[in-house]
Amino acid sequence: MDSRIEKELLALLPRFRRFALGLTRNPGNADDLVQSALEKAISRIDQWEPGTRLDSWVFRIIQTTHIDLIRGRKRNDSFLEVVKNQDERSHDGERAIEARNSLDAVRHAIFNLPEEQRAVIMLVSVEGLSYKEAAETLGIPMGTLTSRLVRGRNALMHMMDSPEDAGPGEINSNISHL
Amino acid sequence: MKNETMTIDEATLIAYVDGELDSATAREVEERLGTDDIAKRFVERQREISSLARVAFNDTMHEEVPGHLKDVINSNSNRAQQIDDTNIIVMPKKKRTSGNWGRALPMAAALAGLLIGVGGGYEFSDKKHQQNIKLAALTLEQDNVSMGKTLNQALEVNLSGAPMTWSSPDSGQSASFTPVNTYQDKTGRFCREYRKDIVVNGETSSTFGLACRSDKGKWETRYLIFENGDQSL
Repeated sequence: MDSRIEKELLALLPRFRRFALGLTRNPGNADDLVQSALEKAISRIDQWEPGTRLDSWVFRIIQTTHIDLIRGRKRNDSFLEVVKNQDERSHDGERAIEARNSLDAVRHAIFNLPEEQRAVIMLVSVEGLSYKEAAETLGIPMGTLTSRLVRGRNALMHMMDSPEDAGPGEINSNISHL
Repeated sequence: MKNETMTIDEATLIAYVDGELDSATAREVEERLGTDDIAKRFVERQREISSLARVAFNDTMHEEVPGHLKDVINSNSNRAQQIDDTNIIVMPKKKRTSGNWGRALPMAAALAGLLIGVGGGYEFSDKKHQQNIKLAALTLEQDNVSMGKTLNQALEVNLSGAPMTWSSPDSGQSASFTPVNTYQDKTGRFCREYRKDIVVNGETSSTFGLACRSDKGKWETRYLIFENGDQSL
């Protein structure tokens, strides 16, 4: 592998981890995901076209690997995971929830978005990709991208404006999308 | 009751917030926003949430990347041992006592790294060289302090969108600070997102930060995002 590609990949690692965290919602799983995605990326690095964005190319591999992992995992696992987080949070009590600042609130809200909307929000709002780049990265048409984006952004806005609604009910309603 | 619905669709407004509209359409949207308060509030709220989303995931950018992930890349190289990590770190993790700027500025961090590097070979350098090093360190220090003051002032008095500029009489560096968004966290504290454009040797680099105001009127930067070279605005 070209040493320049290598350096670029190393420099991009924090962003790969950030995107993976957005998808998996768990730092440990995020690093596992980055690792499998990187192994895939490196094994087929000759498929990357020089001159195109290396970050988007790897983002795509991260995303498809993530989807593969979810499909492979039992449905019950992801259900339990979310419910467990919810329990931990309620132990903290009312005060802790109030003290949570806007940044935690927005992260929490993003984690509660359905899978597809979350990937779009991570790429556009967090990673700063253009709509076209994000659509290409996810392999979806522009129309699909914008509709997921609009639904995701509206859901975030509602969760941020009325955090009480983003309680168990909201989470359960999203589980069905997983 | 008539004005309860917006005159522009949400998709267009969101595309406007994301900078995805061509300039003619963007101007049209801006005109409408002048008369449509609901749309205006929608845009402001969307903009705010986007900024928060960007900043909310920034911790990962500051963390040390686990070695086993770097190894995945390195072990595939013929010259794995030759890779020098110090050359590829995007987010300097080094904590400096002089405040956030050492960490904030890639240029400053690079310079600090250089100074430390040179300092290691102190015995071998002549006196003049040592003086230059000290002078450079001092200038950097002064620049950082004075830039910090300008930033504080910009955040304290400027409206969002209005830049405040700074330039160093000694090093020729210049910078401008533009508050971009203002919000309150749940404890009622004011926080502002800002953009910082710094020019060193004719090259501009942009940084986004989020600072929150302490009781004493001091703005403390809590998050910073570096704009990558390939993502220029």
